[in-house]
Amino acid sequence: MLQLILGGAALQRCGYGTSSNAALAAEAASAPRRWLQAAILALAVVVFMGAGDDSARFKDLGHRMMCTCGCGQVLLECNHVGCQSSDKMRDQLQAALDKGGGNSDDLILQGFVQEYGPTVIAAPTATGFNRVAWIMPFVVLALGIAFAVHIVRSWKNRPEPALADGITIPQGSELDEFRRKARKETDL
Amino acid sequence: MSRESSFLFNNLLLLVVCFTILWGTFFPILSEFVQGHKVTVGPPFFNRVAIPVALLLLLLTAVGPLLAWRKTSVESLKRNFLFPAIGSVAVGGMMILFGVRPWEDPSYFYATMAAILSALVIFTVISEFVRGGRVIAGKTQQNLLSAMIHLCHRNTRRYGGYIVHFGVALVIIGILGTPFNREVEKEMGFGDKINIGPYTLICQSFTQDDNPNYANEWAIINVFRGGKQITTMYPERRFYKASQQPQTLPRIYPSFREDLFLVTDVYLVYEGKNETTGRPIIKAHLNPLVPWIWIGLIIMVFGTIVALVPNAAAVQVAATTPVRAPAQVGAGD
Repeated sequence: MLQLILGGAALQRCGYGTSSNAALAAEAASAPRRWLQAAILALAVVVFMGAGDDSARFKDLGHRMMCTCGCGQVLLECNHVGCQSSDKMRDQLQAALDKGGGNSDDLILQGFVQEYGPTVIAAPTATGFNRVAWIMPFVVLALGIAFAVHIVRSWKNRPEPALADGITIPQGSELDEFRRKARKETDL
Repeated sequence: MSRESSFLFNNLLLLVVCFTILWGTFFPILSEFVQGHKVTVGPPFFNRVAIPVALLLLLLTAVGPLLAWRKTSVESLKRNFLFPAIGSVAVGGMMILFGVRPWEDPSYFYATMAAILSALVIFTVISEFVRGGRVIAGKTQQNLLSAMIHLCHRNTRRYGGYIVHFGVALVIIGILGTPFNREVEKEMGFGDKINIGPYTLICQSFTQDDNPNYANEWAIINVFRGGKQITTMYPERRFYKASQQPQTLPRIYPSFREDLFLVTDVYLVYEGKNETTGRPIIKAHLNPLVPWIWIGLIIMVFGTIVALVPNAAAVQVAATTPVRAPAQVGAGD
């Protein structure tokens, strides 16, 4: 496609060999735009390359299931030599992908759950009570941040310590002036 | 914003990671109690939950040491973080330029973020050493390197801690290569090839041996890159007779000479033997950046040792002060 665009641009250039200066100027002005269009097209091709690739689906689904031999490893990472379970499950997964048609990822995983039980899926699903598994760590993080912010604010609002008469602690811009002076004198 | 609050958030994040692991471990039991059946809480859960929290921790590792006690001014933040921030964003830009697409896959996104934040840690540590070293060099007329060593010796806990942070950033860089790992498994006979990344692996031979301790099988694999042989590797599998236990001995070749900073581990495993053909099954892994994990760990140990060294005496700098002339004693009164 890129070659077509570039080839097309070259053909057009040849056709303009005997045109007027104004036409040549117009062609020169549109050349950068054509290069930009070609670059965008090339970028789009590269970005979307590999989408829907079956081997990528095999890898993705294989990492969403556990091997049932008792090794506790993800299916595609089971490193038992001659493991009966992982070999059989991989063949089943490949067969399900080769079937094509409307075989979606969820349908394939559902098939494995029906055969091997819910523990074959490597992480809790985002349905029903299993959603709690995903939500709780972030709830704890949010509560913790709220608590930490509250603590920091209480530190900020602490009353100033009592000082002897005539002594004041510099604040705000006065303190910044002292900091600037200290920095200048220590060259930091 | 202050160093005290950064410590508070740091401890909070560590607690959240601990809670996540505890929660993930106990959730199957909780699920059985509530739903009547267990669920598996495996790597996908921990990766999706713990990695964002770990990235926040890495951000605090970069930011924390440059915050002042009690209060940090915006001007100070800008001065301390401007160049490290620019440098770290440039690192992220370079990764995208070299073909990493963070928008394509969550693992690529996390790898890019980890690289940017690790670069931020490294640049802030370097800037701390250079700035302090320049002050010492100016006062004592030493060169910058000697001044940085002197600086470190004056406050070993602080600068030893910076070195440990540097090591942590290198360990993270080593881990962020994981989404780019590749592997190929193949039965290899005499002269058979595996192509993986820029390497070609050719099976020169395979054989077996037996001694009173164990029986073993191994393959002799020549490793080529760019048409030139760079090493020979001997992945092996043993069967220990006394314990009746098999053991796989993988072989690792770190590509420092070929790749320098983008060093990759070539990792060969003797998976087993095809009983019908008698030929070995070799699994080849290409694990980019993994050697940096070991380098980072060594630097962390070094930083710990530096932090344990007692501080040197402070630099003595001559200062001129006006001295009042002594009062003259009257003579001949």
